[in-house]
Amino acid sequence: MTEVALEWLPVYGLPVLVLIIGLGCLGAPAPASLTLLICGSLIAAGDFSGAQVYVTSLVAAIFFDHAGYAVGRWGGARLAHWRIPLMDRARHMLKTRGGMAVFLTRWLLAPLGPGVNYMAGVVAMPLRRFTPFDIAGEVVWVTLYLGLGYVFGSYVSQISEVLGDITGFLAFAVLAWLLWRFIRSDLKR
Amino acid sequence: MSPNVKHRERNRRAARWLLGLSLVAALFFGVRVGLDMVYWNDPKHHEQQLEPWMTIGYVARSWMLDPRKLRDALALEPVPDRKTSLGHLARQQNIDFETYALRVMDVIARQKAATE
Repeated sequence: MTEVALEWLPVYGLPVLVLIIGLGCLGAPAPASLTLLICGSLIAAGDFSGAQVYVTSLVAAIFFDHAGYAVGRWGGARLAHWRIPLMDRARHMLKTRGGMAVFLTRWLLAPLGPGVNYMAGVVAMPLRRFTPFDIAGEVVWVTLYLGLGYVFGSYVSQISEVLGDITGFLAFAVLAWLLWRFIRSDLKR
Repeated sequence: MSPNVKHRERNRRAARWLLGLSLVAALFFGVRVGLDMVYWNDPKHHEQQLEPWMTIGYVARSWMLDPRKLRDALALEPVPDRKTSLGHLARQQNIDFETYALRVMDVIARQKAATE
């Protein structure tokens, strides 16, 4: 499926880009980062306009992050009243350090991004906090991946694999660390 | 056991399970990062390969060829299908991508030899 989607990218351009980024933001297994790398290298080859691709990717990513947030906020309203310690902890985390969590899960800890979007909605994180950190994080993600694709055009699939593995490792290591701290503090009570 | 205690015990068990799964996932990706490094240390793997998403312009740029000559050699229309991918071209000609990629590689090699 990935292969086919990618070979349609140069043919149909921006709509394919928006679709892949949207699916990625909502947590579907879509190769959003690889697509940005490829777009970067196609900009360098003169097949795409840099400004168009940059603005489209950024707007699509921010829009679909907010879509995930909205689903969590209105669809998960019942979850919000769960008085279980794990949920309280997540709520507390997002209240105190939610901005940083949103920012980092856009790019450095990207695999956790969709989950954080839904969760931020479920715990009703104020939009005045979610939106600015989301925009800042997506600016980093889009700039970084388009830029890497532009510079290292010939090796995008390899770069994408390495970056995917590194962000995967960091994301799950951080998640494990947070859970370990939760378990320890829960046992003390 | 009161319902509250039972509830907390279940919650703790869920947290431990999640911790276990996260550790397994972190280990999985950690090993993959290691394998990536080993793979990249081998100069054999530094060669560029053709992929279905690549455009003619992209291939020309990567192998430092004249895009017009490359298009001519591949018998493509000069302008209208400028934005098309190798995967798409292979499909249009009803051949599988690997065969088409070999053909393109052949053209690249000949043009490279001609310019050197």
